[in-house]
Amino acid sequence: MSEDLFHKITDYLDGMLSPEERQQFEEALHVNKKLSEATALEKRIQEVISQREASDSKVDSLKTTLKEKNKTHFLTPDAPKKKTSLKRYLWPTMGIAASIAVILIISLQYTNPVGSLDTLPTIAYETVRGTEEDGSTKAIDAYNDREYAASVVLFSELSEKHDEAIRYKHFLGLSYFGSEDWKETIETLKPIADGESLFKDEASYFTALAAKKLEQYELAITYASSISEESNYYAKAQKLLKKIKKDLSK
Amino acid sequence: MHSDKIFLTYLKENDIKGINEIYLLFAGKVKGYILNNSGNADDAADIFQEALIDIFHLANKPDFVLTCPFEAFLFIICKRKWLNELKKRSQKPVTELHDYVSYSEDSVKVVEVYANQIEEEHTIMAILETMGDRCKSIIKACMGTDSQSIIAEKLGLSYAYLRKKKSECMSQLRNLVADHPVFKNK
Repeated sequence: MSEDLFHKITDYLDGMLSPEERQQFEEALHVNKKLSEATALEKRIQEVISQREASDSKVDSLKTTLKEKNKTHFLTPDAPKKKTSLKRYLWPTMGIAASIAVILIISLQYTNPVGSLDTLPTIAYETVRGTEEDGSTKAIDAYNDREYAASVVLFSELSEKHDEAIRYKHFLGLSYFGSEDWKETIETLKPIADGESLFKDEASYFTALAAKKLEQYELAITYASSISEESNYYAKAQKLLKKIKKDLSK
Repeated sequence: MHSDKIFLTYLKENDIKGINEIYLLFAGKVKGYILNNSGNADDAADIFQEALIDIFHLANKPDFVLTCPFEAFLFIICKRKWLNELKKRSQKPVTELHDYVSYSEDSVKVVEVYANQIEEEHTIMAILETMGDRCKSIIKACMGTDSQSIIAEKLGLSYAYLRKKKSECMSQLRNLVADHPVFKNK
């Protein structure tokens, strides 16, 4: 019961408890010292952050003024700069230019298969057309704009609301991949890779890729090998397997 | 309220002439103190600026009352900040010069209370910045002036989800703050 009350502190301070809950909470405040201290602390935290948020733009203007005044009243003038001959820089500059040219030549010839293997698919609106507006458009836009932190939040909410809809969990997993959270990618996509939905092969591929990032090679091989020959991801999966075998042989 | 409250007004209103007066009257003594205690001009400039911003935040609180001379208030805050900075750099102060500014023991006690308050507020904001992006944006948005239903819409979340995440994030922040030495050792 008391644990439950700690979770109600924010709602209490926001005035969101029902009259009965509020009464119960206030009675507990009188007898539970820890609850009382935690509530007072959260109230203080809220006040501090509110005040700082409210004065944010004013502080920026004040900082600009103070920086200017600092220059006049505190900072020492710059030491006079010596004139330098360009010759001092000639040989080092030529050396740097030569190195850059070599690097450019090598990079034109070298292709990094892993770089292209990491490319996430775009989500087409048709794949998530539902009978009602459920906020999926915002989530898809964020994902396709590579705002993965936002798409994680939005697809998390959609997954919670529509527990039966595998597609939202799948897109959440891809969003985790985009935000380079390999552990969450695997946890989210592995169940889909183990299932029979139309997302199975794509989920297997990105599970394998995330596992390789974490050097969990056995897992990576298992899921890359499970992708069927008819799948669009088969060729990429074979390249990934070759890369893993090469890494393991080092 | 002390007659020096005009200096608080200069800060609150970003009054350029008034702020220039603050620098003319008080910057030299702070600079002198820091230069004589292992610091340089850049250090003095930073400390003076930070102290003025802290006083700005205090001055905006409805219950703040200046009960000692502004000079003493400002100098004691600067001195305390500099001594903390030297501690962080593992340097002991070379000298403890008291004669740059004269102030009473009562002034020290008053300022110490506010200086502790400032330190606690800095700690809260610093801990907030260490939290994940999701919690940070939800907490900051909810502490603004918009209603939570508008915030939910702006963030593309349902109202119920926003409330749930806000409660979880505030609980996390509260626990982190409570465990910090600045709050734990009170």
